[in-house]
Amino acid sequence: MRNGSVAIVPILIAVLSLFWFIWFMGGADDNLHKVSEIENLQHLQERLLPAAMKRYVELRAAYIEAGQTEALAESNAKTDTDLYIHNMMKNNKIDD
Amino acid sequence: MKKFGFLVLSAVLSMHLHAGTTTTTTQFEDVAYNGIPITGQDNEYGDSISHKTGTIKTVDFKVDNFWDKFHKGGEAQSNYAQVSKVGIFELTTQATFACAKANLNAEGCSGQKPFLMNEGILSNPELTKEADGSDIVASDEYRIPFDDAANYLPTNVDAFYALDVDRNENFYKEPATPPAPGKKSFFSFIIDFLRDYYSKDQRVFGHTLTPEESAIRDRYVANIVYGHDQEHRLRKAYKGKAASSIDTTVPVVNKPVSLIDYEELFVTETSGCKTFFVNLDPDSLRCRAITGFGLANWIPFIDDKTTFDVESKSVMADTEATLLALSGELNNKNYVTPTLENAKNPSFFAEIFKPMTNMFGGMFRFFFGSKPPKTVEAISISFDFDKYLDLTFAMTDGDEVTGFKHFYLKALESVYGTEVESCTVKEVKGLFGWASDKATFVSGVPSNKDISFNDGFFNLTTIPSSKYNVLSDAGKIYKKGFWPFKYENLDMTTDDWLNWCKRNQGEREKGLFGKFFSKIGRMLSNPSTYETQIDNIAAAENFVVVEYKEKVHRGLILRLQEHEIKSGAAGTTTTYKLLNVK
Repeated sequence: MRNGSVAIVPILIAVLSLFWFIWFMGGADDNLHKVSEIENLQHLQERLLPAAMKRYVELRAAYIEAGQTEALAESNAKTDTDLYIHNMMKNNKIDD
Repeated sequence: MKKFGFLVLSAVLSMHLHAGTTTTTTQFEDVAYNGIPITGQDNEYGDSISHKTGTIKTVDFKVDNFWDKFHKGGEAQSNYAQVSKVGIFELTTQATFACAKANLNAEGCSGQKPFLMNEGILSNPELTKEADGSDIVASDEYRIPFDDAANYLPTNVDAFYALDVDRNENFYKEPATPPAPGKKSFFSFIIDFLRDYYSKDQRVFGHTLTPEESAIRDRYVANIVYGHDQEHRLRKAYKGKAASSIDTTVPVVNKPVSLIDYEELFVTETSGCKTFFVNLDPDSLRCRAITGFGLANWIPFIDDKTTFDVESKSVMADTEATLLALSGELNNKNYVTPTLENAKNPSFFAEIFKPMTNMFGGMFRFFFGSKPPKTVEAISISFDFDKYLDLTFAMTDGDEVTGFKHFYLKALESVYGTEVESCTVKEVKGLFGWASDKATFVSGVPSNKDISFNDGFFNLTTIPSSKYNVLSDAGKIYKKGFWPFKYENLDMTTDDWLNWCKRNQGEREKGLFGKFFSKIGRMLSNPSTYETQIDNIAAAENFVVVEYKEKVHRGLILRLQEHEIKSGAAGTTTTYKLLNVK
């Protein structure tokens, strides 16, 4: 191999401009990624809403029937519903 | 090249090695929980409607970024403090607990029951009174009697009425082909209900209604158990749509919505224990209490040999039996403990003999007619429930449905009242009664019949002959002189005689020795009350009851508590409609 071959120059320029392009566009791709992640999460939340509401209403009524006060029944039903949603979110790799 | 490869690899790997300092959690929030009240109202069918807002909120949601290594201002991970969705729901709740158990689909059930009330009934103060006339302590609680459709007037505010609402045959008729094994038809369901509740040794028997009446009755029972089907629900005027009209002329046959009237064979009974579905052991306490036909044993002063007629509408009897059975199976698992369960407990008898003095106040037109007769006795059996059945009543102004009211069925009272009709007495004269003299007293008819009295015991007392039926001096206690045994003049009214018959009818004629001993007993005891005095005099004069006629009426009173149907509660069905998502 001869020293100082200029043939490497266009290759280097090509590689560098590729890196520059990545540097230049990389953030934009991250933004797209973030938008799609949040969209996914919101769809998941939307799908969970009816189930959560149903669960909450039923739990609340069951607690009241079991003799708890309204306020206590509400907070207990909320705790249980939270746990239920949390587990769903864990399955979907959202919650830690 | 090796260095370059390492660079790329480490960049890729490091992306996964980021760990957040906060944890992602998702929570549910209900607006009502935060202190904003839930709006509760009814829709046009009387179903309970409420709106609820729920939020699912994810806190500290993290997104890992890939390109940050190659970006000037890039960050490895983006953290979103809160990502949430808000949903607004409409909850429609009906009380349809029996539906699932019967394998009926949702179209066969609704929260409406076939009961009708006139508007203004809940402001009638008479209905917030206990049996003894005192006020009911709990608020929103009423004792509302059942009335016959023939008595219906739009102005009546003291009773509820049974309603005939058309029904899709699929939801209550026996199918032409027998149901698949494991599946139950409507009637096997009902019969199982009753078999569980009443007794094992019952049998189901037919009835003698016309096919038309029979269809009405089947439909009525089905409507009580499942509520009206979705197609035939009643509606009130709502957003420009007309309300269901109600035909209140009786009898009505095959009208979509009308008052109901049918008679069953057991309108007159002397003994036995028959109801629509069941035939019980007549000696069982349960039979006596539930059907009331064996109740003669418990009605004061009537012995079990006394023949009497029970005047009872089968519409009412069916209402009672069905509601009892339904409440017995409430929650599909929680059986009620009616007061009857404590049959060995004396409190049962206390319950049975609870006087219905409130009846004499002129209300309960259904029971004794518009004018309560003077001489009546009434008792009631109360079935108190642990779990309350939801009943939705339709309210009316006489023409159409104006609204709906929700009640808990807290207790059910079977009422029995006896009304004296007439009594024939005989004055036994001569050793074997060969010279007897008869007189008949009819309730409400002042009798002018003279009864002459002989001298008393050993002919030593002197009893002046008198008109025993002159309406004077009633209630006065007459003393007996010590010697000679002499009664002062005493006039007995028709009511006095009827009362005496009621007290003494069981005795019938006594044998010679019996008469002798009872005379001795009376001679030695000084009469202390007006009634004892009459008893003594009549017995001393050898009066016996020949025939005593009483009419027994039956009544049904529901003890209801007005309430709002709670979504999610046992025995209710709730549908969730997502109105909006934000």
